[in-house]
Amino acid sequence: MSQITVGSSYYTLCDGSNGACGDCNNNDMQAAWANLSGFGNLEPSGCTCNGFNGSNLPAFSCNETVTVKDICNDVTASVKITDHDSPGGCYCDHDCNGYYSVLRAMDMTEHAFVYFTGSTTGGLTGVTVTY
Amino acid sequence: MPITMHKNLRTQDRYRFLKGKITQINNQSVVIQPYGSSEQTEAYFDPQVTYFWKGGLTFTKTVTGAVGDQGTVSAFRDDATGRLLVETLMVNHEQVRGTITGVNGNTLAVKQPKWLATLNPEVTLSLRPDALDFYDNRVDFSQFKAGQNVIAQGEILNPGQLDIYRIHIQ
Repeated sequence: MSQITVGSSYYTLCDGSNGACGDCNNNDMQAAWANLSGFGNLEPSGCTCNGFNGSNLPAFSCNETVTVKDICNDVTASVKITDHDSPGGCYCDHDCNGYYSVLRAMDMTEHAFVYFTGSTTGGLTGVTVTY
Repeated sequence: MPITMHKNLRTQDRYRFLKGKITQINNQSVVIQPYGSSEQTEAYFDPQVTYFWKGGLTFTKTVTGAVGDQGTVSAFRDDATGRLLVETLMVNHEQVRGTITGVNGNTLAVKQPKWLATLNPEVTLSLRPDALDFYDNRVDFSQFKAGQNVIAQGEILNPGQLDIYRIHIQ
Protein backbone atom coordinates (compact mmCIF):
# COMPACT_ATOMS: atom_id res chain seq x y z
CA MET A 1 0.00 0.00 0.00
CA SER A 2 1.14 3.52 -0.76
CA GLN A 3 0.00 6.88 0.52
CA ILE A 4 0.07 10.45 -0.67
CA THR A 5 -1.18 13.60 1.05
CA VAL A 6 -2.82 16.19 -1.19
CA GLY A 7 -5.23 19.08 -1.07
CA SER A 8 -8.84 18.64 -2.14
CA SER A 9 -11.51 21.05 -3.25
CA TYR A 10 -15.07 20.14 -4.23
CA TYR A 11 -17.29 20.61 -7.24
CA THR A 12 -20.99 20.37 -7.98
CA LEU A 13 -21.38 19.53 -11.65
CA CYS A 14 -21.45 15.72 -11.70
CA ASP A 15 -24.81 14.90 -13.22
CA GLY A 16 -24.61 11.10 -13.27
CA SER A 17 -23.68 10.85 -16.93
CA ASN A 18 -20.65 13.07 -17.32
CA GLY A 19 -17.06 13.26 -16.15
CA ALA A 20 -14.08 11.62 -17.78
CA CYS A 21 -15.29 8.14 -16.80
CA GLY A 22 -18.89 8.80 -17.83
CA ASP A 23 -20.68 8.24 -14.55
CA CYS A 24 -19.72 11.16 -12.38
CA ASN A 25 -22.42 11.58 -9.72
CA ASN A 26 -22.61 14.43 -7.24
CA ASN A 27 -24.73 12.23 -4.96
CA ASP A 28 -22.08 9.59 -4.49
CA MET A 29 -18.72 9.23 -2.72
CA GLN A 30 -16.61 10.14 -5.73
CA ALA A 31 -13.73 12.37 -6.71
CA ALA A 32 -11.80 13.66 -9.67
CA TRP A 33 -8.04 13.09 -9.72
CA ALA A 34 -5.42 15.11 -11.57
CA ASN A 35 -3.58 12.08 -13.00
CA LEU A 36 -6.11 9.71 -14.53
CA SER A 37 -4.87 6.71 -16.51
CA GLY A 38 -5.51 7.25 -20.19
CA PHE A 39 -6.10 10.96 -19.72
CA GLY A 40 -2.69 12.18 -18.56
CA ASN A 41 -1.38 14.19 -15.66
CA LEU A 42 -2.77 17.70 -15.45
CA GLU A 43 -0.20 18.93 -12.95
CA PRO A 44 2.06 21.35 -14.81
CA SER A 45 5.67 20.34 -15.27
CA GLY A 46 7.73 21.75 -12.43
CA CYS A 47 4.77 22.16 -10.08
CA THR A 48 6.30 21.43 -6.69
CA CYS A 49 4.72 21.69 -3.25
CA ASN A 50 6.74 21.05 -0.12
CA GLY A 51 9.31 19.14 -2.17
CA PHE A 52 6.77 16.96 -3.95
CA ASN A 53 6.79 17.34 -7.72
CA GLY A 54 3.38 17.05 -9.36
CA SER A 55 4.89 15.03 -12.19
CA ASN A 56 5.28 12.19 -9.65
CA LEU A 57 1.59 12.10 -8.83
CA PRO A 58 0.38 8.48 -9.01
CA ALA A 59 -2.06 7.61 -11.77
CA PHE A 60 -5.44 6.15 -10.87
CA SER A 61 -7.84 4.39 -13.21
CA CYS A 62 -11.48 5.14 -13.86
CA ASN A 63 -13.64 3.61 -11.11
CA GLU A 64 -10.62 2.75 -8.95
CA THR A 65 -11.50 2.97 -5.28
CA VAL A 66 -9.05 4.59 -2.89
CA THR A 67 -9.18 5.13 0.85
CA VAL A 68 -9.28 8.80 1.76
CA LYS A 69 -8.61 10.17 5.23
CA ASP A 70 -9.20 13.81 6.06
CA ILE A 71 -6.06 14.83 7.93
CA CYS A 72 -7.94 17.62 9.68
CA ASN A 73 -10.37 15.37 11.54
CA ASP A 74 -9.43 11.72 10.79
CA VAL A 75 -12.71 11.00 8.96
CA THR A 76 -12.08 8.11 6.55
CA ALA A 77 -14.07 6.73 3.62
CA SER A 78 -13.74 4.77 0.40
CA VAL A 79 -13.89 7.09 -2.60
CA LYS A 80 -14.30 6.14 -6.25
CA ILE A 81 -12.28 8.01 -8.87
CA THR A 82 -14.67 8.99 -11.67
CA ASP A 83 -13.32 12.14 -13.23
CA HIS A 84 -10.19 13.95 -14.38
CA ASP A 85 -9.46 17.00 -12.26
CA SER A 86 -8.60 20.07 -14.26
CA PRO A 87 -7.43 22.74 -11.84
CA GLY A 88 -5.75 24.60 -14.69
CA GLY A 89 -2.65 25.44 -12.73
CA CYS A 90 -0.33 24.56 -9.89
CA TYR A 91 -1.90 25.01 -6.46
CA CYS A 92 -0.15 24.36 -3.18
CA ASP A 93 -2.77 24.36 -0.45
CA HIS A 94 -2.24 24.68 3.27
CA ASP A 95 -3.07 21.57 5.20
CA CYS A 96 -5.65 22.01 7.95
CA ASN A 97 -3.04 23.23 10.43
CA GLY A 98 -1.22 25.45 7.97
CA TYR A 99 2.04 23.65 8.69
CA TYR A 100 3.02 22.86 5.12
CA SER A 101 1.81 22.94 1.56
CA VAL A 102 0.13 20.10 -0.24
CA LEU A 103 -0.50 19.77 -3.95
CA ARG A 104 -4.17 20.23 -4.84
CA ALA A 105 -4.77 17.08 -6.84
CA MET A 106 -8.27 15.95 -5.83
CA ASP A 107 -11.68 17.44 -6.47
CA MET A 108 -14.44 15.72 -4.52
CA THR A 109 -18.13 15.62 -5.18
CA GLU A 110 -20.15 17.76 -2.80
CA HIS A 111 -21.47 14.52 -1.27
CA ALA A 112 -17.95 13.38 -0.41
CA PHE A 113 -16.66 16.76 0.73
CA VAL A 114 -19.52 17.24 3.17
CA TYR A 115 -18.97 13.75 4.57
CA PHE A 116 -15.33 14.51 5.27
CA THR A 117 -15.59 18.06 6.53
CA GLY A 118 -19.15 18.35 7.85
CA SER A 119 -20.13 21.16 5.49
CA THR A 120 -19.08 23.09 2.41
CA THR A 121 -17.95 26.19 4.27
CA GLY A 122 -14.23 25.60 3.92
CA GLY A 123 -13.89 24.75 0.27
CA LEU A 124 -10.52 23.08 0.76
CA THR A 125 -9.19 20.32 2.97
CA GLY A 126 -6.14 18.11 3.26
CA VAL A 127 -6.44 14.38 2.70
CA THR A 128 -4.24 11.30 2.77
CA VAL A 129 -5.00 8.92 -0.08
CA THR A 130 -4.14 5.24 0.39
CA TYR A 131 -3.99 3.10 -2.72
CA MET B 1 -16.88 23.30 10.35
CA PRO B 2 -18.38 21.15 13.11
CA ILE B 3 -18.52 17.39 12.96
CA THR B 4 -21.00 16.64 15.69
CA MET B 5 -22.53 13.26 14.91
CA HIS B 6 -21.29 10.54 17.25
CA LYS B 7 -18.60 8.47 15.56
CA ASN B 8 -20.66 5.29 16.00
CA LEU B 9 -23.37 6.79 13.80
CA ARG B 10 -21.14 8.82 11.52
CA THR B 11 -20.27 6.03 9.10
CA GLN B 12 -20.23 5.85 5.34
CA ASP B 13 -23.05 3.28 5.16
CA ARG B 14 -25.36 5.47 7.24
CA TYR B 15 -24.59 8.67 5.39
CA ARG B 16 -27.09 10.48 3.16
CA PHE B 17 -26.44 13.63 1.20
CA LEU B 18 -29.54 15.49 0.06
CA LYS B 19 -29.63 18.61 -2.10
CA GLY B 20 -32.80 20.07 -3.51
CA LYS B 21 -35.89 22.08 -2.65
CA ILE B 22 -37.16 22.32 0.91
CA THR B 23 -40.82 21.25 0.73
CA GLN B 24 -41.51 21.20 4.49
CA ILE B 25 -39.64 22.47 7.50
CA ASN B 26 -40.53 22.90 11.17
CA ASN B 27 -38.74 22.67 14.50
CA GLN B 28 -38.44 18.89 14.27
CA SER B 29 -37.53 18.07 10.69
CA VAL B 30 -36.96 19.12 7.11
CA VAL B 31 -38.27 17.48 3.93
CA ILE B 32 -36.08 17.72 0.85
CA GLN B 33 -37.05 16.96 -2.73
CA PRO B 34 -33.71 16.34 -4.45
CA TYR B 35 -33.24 17.99 -7.84
CA GLY B 36 -34.29 15.66 -10.65
CA SER B 37 -36.31 13.44 -8.34
CA SER B 38 -40.00 13.25 -7.52
CA GLU B 39 -39.31 11.58 -4.18
CA GLN B 40 -39.10 13.49 -0.94
CA THR B 41 -36.99 12.57 2.07
CA GLU B 42 -37.52 13.67 5.65
CA ALA B 43 -34.58 14.17 7.96
CA TYR B 44 -34.86 15.00 11.64
CA PHE B 45 -33.12 17.64 13.71
CA ASP B 46 -31.32 16.75 16.91
CA PRO B 47 -30.38 19.64 19.20
CA GLN B 48 -27.22 17.80 20.19
CA VAL B 49 -25.85 17.47 16.70
CA THR B 50 -27.70 19.61 14.15
CA TYR B 51 -26.26 22.86 12.89
CA PHE B 52 -27.96 25.33 10.52
CA TRP B 53 -26.19 27.56 8.11
CA LYS B 54 -27.65 30.35 6.00
CA GLY B 55 -26.19 33.49 4.55
CA GLY B 56 -22.69 33.43 5.94
CA LEU B 57 -19.93 31.42 7.51
CA THR B 58 -21.51 31.20 10.94
CA PHE B 59 -23.47 28.18 12.07
CA THR B 60 -26.40 28.43 14.44
CA LYS B 61 -28.48 26.01 16.45
CA THR B 62 -31.66 27.80 15.44
CA VAL B 63 -33.80 26.19 12.76
CA THR B 64 -33.22 28.13 9.55
CA GLY B 65 -34.75 27.81 6.10
CA ALA B 66 -38.16 28.05 4.48
CA VAL B 67 -40.27 26.12 2.00
CA GLY B 68 -38.92 26.80 -1.49
CA ASP B 69 -35.36 27.42 -0.36
CA GLN B 70 -32.55 25.22 -1.57
CA GLY B 71 -31.51 22.81 1.17
CA THR B 72 -28.27 20.86 1.33
CA VAL B 73 -28.42 18.23 4.06
CA SER B 74 -25.81 16.00 5.61
CA ALA B 75 -27.59 13.25 7.54
CA PHE B 76 -26.91 9.87 9.11
CA ARG B 77 -29.33 7.00 9.70
CA ASP B 78 -30.12 6.19 13.32
CA ASP B 79 -30.46 2.41 13.44
CA ALA B 80 -32.64 2.55 16.55
CA THR B 81 -35.37 4.60 14.90
CA GLY B 82 -34.60 4.26 11.20
CA ARG B 83 -34.69 8.04 10.95
CA LEU B 84 -32.17 10.25 9.25
CA LEU B 85 -30.56 12.64 11.73
CA VAL B 86 -29.34 15.94 10.32
CA GLU B 87 -25.79 17.00 11.06
CA THR B 88 -25.87 20.13 8.88
CA LEU B 89 -28.57 21.95 6.94
CA MET B 90 -27.14 24.54 4.57
CA VAL B 91 -29.75 26.90 3.11
CA ASN B 92 -29.39 28.51 -0.32
CA HIS B 93 -25.65 27.91 -0.26
CA GLU B 94 -23.89 27.43 -3.58
CA GLN B 95 -20.41 27.40 -5.03
CA VAL B 96 -19.54 28.69 -8.47
CA ARG B 97 -16.38 28.57 -10.54
CA GLY B 98 -15.70 30.87 -13.43
CA THR B 99 -13.80 33.70 -15.06
CA ILE B 100 -14.16 37.33 -14.02
CA THR B 101 -15.49 39.39 -16.92
CA GLY B 102 -16.02 42.64 -15.07
CA VAL B 103 -15.20 44.34 -11.78
CA ASN B 104 -17.19 47.16 -10.21
CA GLY B 105 -16.13 47.84 -6.64
CA ASN B 106 -17.16 44.84 -4.60
CA THR B 107 -19.23 43.35 -7.42
CA LEU B 108 -17.83 40.87 -9.90
CA ALA B 109 -19.35 39.63 -13.14
CA VAL B 110 -18.36 35.99 -13.63
CA LYS B 111 -18.90 33.69 -16.58
CA GLN B 112 -19.02 29.98 -15.73
CA PRO B 113 -17.71 27.43 -18.27
CA LYS B 114 -20.21 24.96 -16.79
CA TRP B 115 -23.14 25.80 -14.59
CA LEU B 116 -25.87 24.33 -12.48
CA ALA B 117 -29.41 24.34 -13.84
CA THR B 118 -30.43 26.45 -10.86
CA LEU B 119 -28.09 29.28 -11.90
CA ASN B 120 -27.49 31.41 -14.96
CA PRO B 121 -24.25 30.86 -16.90
CA GLU B 122 -23.24 34.43 -16.12
CA VAL B 123 -23.66 35.49 -12.53
CA THR B 124 -23.08 38.60 -10.47
CA LEU B 125 -21.10 38.06 -7.29
CA SER B 126 -21.69 40.65 -4.58
CA LEU B 127 -18.77 40.33 -2.19
CA ARG B 128 -19.44 40.87 1.46
CA PRO B 129 -17.12 43.35 3.20
CA ASP B 130 -15.98 40.51 5.48
CA ALA B 131 -15.51 37.93 2.72
CA LEU B 132 -12.69 35.42 3.27
CA ASP B 133 -10.53 33.33 0.99
CA PHE B 134 -10.13 29.57 1.41
CA TYR B 135 -7.31 30.14 3.91
CA ASP B 136 -9.58 32.34 6.05
CA ASN B 137 -7.76 35.54 5.11
CA ARG B 138 -9.79 38.71 4.58
CA VAL B 139 -10.26 39.37 0.88
CA ASP B 140 -8.58 42.42 -0.66
CA PHE B 141 -11.10 43.64 -3.24
CA SER B 142 -8.42 45.48 -5.23
CA GLN B 143 -6.83 42.17 -6.25
CA PHE B 144 -9.67 41.17 -8.58
CA LYS B 145 -9.19 41.70 -12.30
CA ALA B 146 -10.96 40.60 -15.45
CA GLY B 147 -9.62 37.29 -16.75
CA GLN B 148 -8.91 35.75 -13.34
CA ASN B 149 -10.47 32.40 -12.51
CA VAL B 150 -12.23 32.26 -9.16
CA ILE B 151 -14.09 29.86 -6.92
CA ALA B 152 -16.76 31.57 -4.84
CA GLN B 153 -19.27 30.46 -2.25
CA GLY B 154 -22.32 32.36 -1.20
CA GLU B 155 -26.04 32.62 -0.72
CA ILE B 156 -28.21 32.40 -3.82
CA LEU B 157 -30.21 35.62 -4.09
CA ASN B 158 -31.63 34.73 -7.50
CA PRO B 159 -30.40 32.62 -10.46
CA GLY B 160 -28.10 35.43 -11.57
CA GLN B 161 -26.79 36.76 -8.28
CA LEU B 162 -25.02 35.45 -5.20
CA ASP B 163 -24.07 37.14 -1.94
CA ILE B 164 -20.49 35.96 -1.55
CA TYR B 165 -18.81 35.23 1.76
CA ARG B 166 -15.89 33.17 0.51
CA ILE B 167 -13.89 33.66 -2.69
CA HIS B 168 -10.57 32.39 -3.91
CA ILE B 169 -8.52 33.23 -6.98
CA GLN B 170 -7.37 30.12 -8.81
